[in-house]
Amino acid sequence: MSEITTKDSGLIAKSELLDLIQKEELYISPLLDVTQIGAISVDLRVGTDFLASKQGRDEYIDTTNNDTSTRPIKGHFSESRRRLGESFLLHSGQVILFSTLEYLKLPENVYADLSLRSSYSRIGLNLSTLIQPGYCGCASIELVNSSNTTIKILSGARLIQARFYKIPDNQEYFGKKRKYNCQVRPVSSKANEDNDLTKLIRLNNS
Amino acid sequence: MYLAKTLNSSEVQTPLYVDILERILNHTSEDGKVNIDKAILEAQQIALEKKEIYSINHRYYFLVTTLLGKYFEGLKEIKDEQINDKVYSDILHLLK
Amino acid sequence: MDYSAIQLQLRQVDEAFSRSRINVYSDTKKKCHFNELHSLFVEISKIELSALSPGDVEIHYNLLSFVLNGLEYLDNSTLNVIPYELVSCLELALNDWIDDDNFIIVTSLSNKHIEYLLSTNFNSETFLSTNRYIQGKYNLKITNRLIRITLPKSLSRDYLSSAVLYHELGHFIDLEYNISQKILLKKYPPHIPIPIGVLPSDINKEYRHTLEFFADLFAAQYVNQSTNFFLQRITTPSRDGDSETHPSTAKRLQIVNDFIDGKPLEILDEFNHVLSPSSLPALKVRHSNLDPKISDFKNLTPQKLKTPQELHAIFKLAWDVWIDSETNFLKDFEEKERYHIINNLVEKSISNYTIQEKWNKA
Repeated sequence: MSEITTKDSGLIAKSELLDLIQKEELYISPLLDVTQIGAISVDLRVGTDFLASKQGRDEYIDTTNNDTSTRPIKGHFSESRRRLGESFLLHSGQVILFSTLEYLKLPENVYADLSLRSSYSRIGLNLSTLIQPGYCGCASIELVNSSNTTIKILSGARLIQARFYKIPDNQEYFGKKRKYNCQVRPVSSKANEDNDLTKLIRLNNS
Repeated sequence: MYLAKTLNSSEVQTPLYVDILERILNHTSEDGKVNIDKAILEAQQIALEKKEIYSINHRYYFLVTTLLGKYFEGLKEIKDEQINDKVYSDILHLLK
Repeated sequence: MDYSAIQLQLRQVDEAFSRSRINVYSDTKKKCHFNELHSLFVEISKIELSALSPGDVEIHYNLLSFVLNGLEYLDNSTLNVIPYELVSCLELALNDWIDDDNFIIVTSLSNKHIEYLLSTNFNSETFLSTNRYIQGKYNLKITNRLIRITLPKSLSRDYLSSAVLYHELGHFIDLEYNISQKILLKKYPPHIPIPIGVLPSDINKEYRHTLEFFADLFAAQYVNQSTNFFLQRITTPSRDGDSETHPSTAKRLQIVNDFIDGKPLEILDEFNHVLSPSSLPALKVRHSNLDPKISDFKNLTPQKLKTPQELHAIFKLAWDVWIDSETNFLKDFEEKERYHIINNLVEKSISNYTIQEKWNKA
């Protein structure tokens, strides 16, 4: 685990978090309750938009192909929305994507490590997401229910814990072409748009 | 761009007003009488040019405009805001 | 019409209820409305149809149409993907004009490319008369009216285009309070024959044009010139001109521009002369101005909105940013990304405002 420091790198603690938020260098909105900011992390909430995996006619999700011959990855998910405070069911074994209620904008020298708050990880839910330096948008979170019971979640619940880490150098987020810009709803995987895929397929065919 | 739509006024409202006038004449609708009287007197005020046409209450717009169109002289003859059975009967007749 | 028409309708309504999905109405108002429609249907089902008078047959036919219509509105509403952000903006605008809290907004996503509609099954006069009837006959009442917002599925997240829903809301208000009708009534009083040389079709055209001007001005109160920008993009200038149903786009654009610029406008005065005696607010500017050069969008973050006036102004801000996107802070993004970024930021701006308001009140 990184050393807690207010210097050039490492985990950012509360006082510096507050400072960055106050200066809007770290943007988190809406921040409905100031108690979301803890000693070494910020609680983030489940948003209002969900993509739930669904069983279709296809045998698999194809991450190797971006042409029209196969069903797009987003076709394996169904979209739904909830008002804040409404519930959502996550069935056993199901994967859902949701976006955080909070829109984030990270400084170019800060990344965020998102994990479940401990009260939720104890009931069989799993998530782990890294947010790149300079990222802006609501974070798309993949949540898996690996228990054998359906779990009910409220839109707006403080499910996630975000730890913020400084790195020595600025990373220009928009310096390279990004697939997910200023997203406010969960976006299904764009794995099949990876630039390397064409090269890999060509390599295999040669 | 499209218009907002409502169910057609006269086809839906005429039978409802016919019903309430019949019940007034049978003395089985005191509430209905109060509302209908308001509409009739408002129409009279407009007919006598004591009120603006713009001020027609939207809650009985169809009835008031129907009365202005088809019972204009009858409205002017109502005296001292006394609406008798003949008036209800006349209005019922023109709605039917 | 005889009672056999009602017999068939009863079977249709019965079938409609068996298909209706009551368990997905998470909104208590919608559930209540469904239950009230069902209670009315049950009472009507019990009566001896052959004993109904001709007048009652007609009324019951209309009642069952009302029930079917209500079920259609409830069932076709977009249960899983409601455009909450648009609904909340329109609700706020509606609250400026309607005191009653007795309406339910449902939304429907259309497969038609440009289908924006705001419709209701009954206006307030018919709603009152109907309730009086069913109260007297069955001791029942319908608490709420349904207002349905229809927008194209493909454009449900396009806030540039969806600003036209304010225009549709304008039509709704006009028809609710008979505003354009009153203007025509003043010009052509009902007890006086139409002047020679004036055709009913002329009057109808004048009426339809008046409706459009009202709706344009109504929208401009809230979204400034947003509907103008949309209209310009869907009009072919060489084919522009007055039609039976709409004034020319050029006229419509001018009227909105003059309104925004505060120039004297005869038609605006005419509308306000109708609105005031009807105890309605005047048509006036009801939005703030958000400067795109200093807006939060420049930082690729949602706009902080503090008031309803700023909320409505978000649509004009979106257009301003879109129009200049080849030269402003979005210039290094591809056009497709610029479109998505603007719409995402608008959506989140509205969402943040409404969520914060609700949180503060809870």
